[in-house]
Amino acid sequence: MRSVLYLVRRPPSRAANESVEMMLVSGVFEQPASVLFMDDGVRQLPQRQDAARLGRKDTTKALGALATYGIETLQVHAPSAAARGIAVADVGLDVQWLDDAEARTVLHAADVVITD
Amino acid sequence: MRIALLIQGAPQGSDAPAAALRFARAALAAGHRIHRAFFHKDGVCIANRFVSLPADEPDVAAEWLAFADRHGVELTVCVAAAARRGVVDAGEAARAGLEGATLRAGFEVAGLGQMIEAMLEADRTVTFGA
Repeated sequence: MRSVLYLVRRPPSRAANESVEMMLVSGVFEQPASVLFMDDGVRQLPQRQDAARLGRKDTTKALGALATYGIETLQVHAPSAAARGIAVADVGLDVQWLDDAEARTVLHAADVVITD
Repeated sequence: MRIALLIQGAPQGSDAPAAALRFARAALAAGHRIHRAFFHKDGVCIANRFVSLPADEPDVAAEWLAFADRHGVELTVCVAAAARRGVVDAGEAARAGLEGATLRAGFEVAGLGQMIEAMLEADRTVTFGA
């Protein structure tokens, strides 16, 4: 089955939650799927976000549910996180930290790349 | 080559549907096939039949419908994203207790599974973001 990489480059928002919905459906279809957070997409990862104060659902909670749908590979482009002051300890999810070369490799390895 | 399109930007607030249409025309001209055009997120606003545009603005939805009709391309909008934005067919309107359907004829509503199937079947999937 064709593998998909969801490339997340935008910060948390209502639209980000809709991206997660698509990831979940990939999981339901048992499609090999992984996620790479890059650029402002890394802003979706820090825990202790209080989305309710902005009147929207917490994206990190939805991301945390991905593993139960078979999407276990969450990856972070480490230079993007570093540039935004986000450290390993800030991220509550189980993620892999990738450097530039590793991010390039996973982008090339996927059959399909879906951007947000 | 069979190509699936994922269009996520609104016709009014972004260039995504218009850019996707230009891409689709170019792809056909180069001998490829468009497998499906799937509208998600704000992209679903293209299927609102109550959109009323000033006379001097192009109707991207009408252009998409003409293209789809001529080339046998399915135009599908995500049912959940569409319902959030007030775009519903008769069935969804009845289910949600809404007064009437707002979906423009020629568009179909379907679940995200249709997009996953399209990306599994197509040789390439091209995304047009907001």
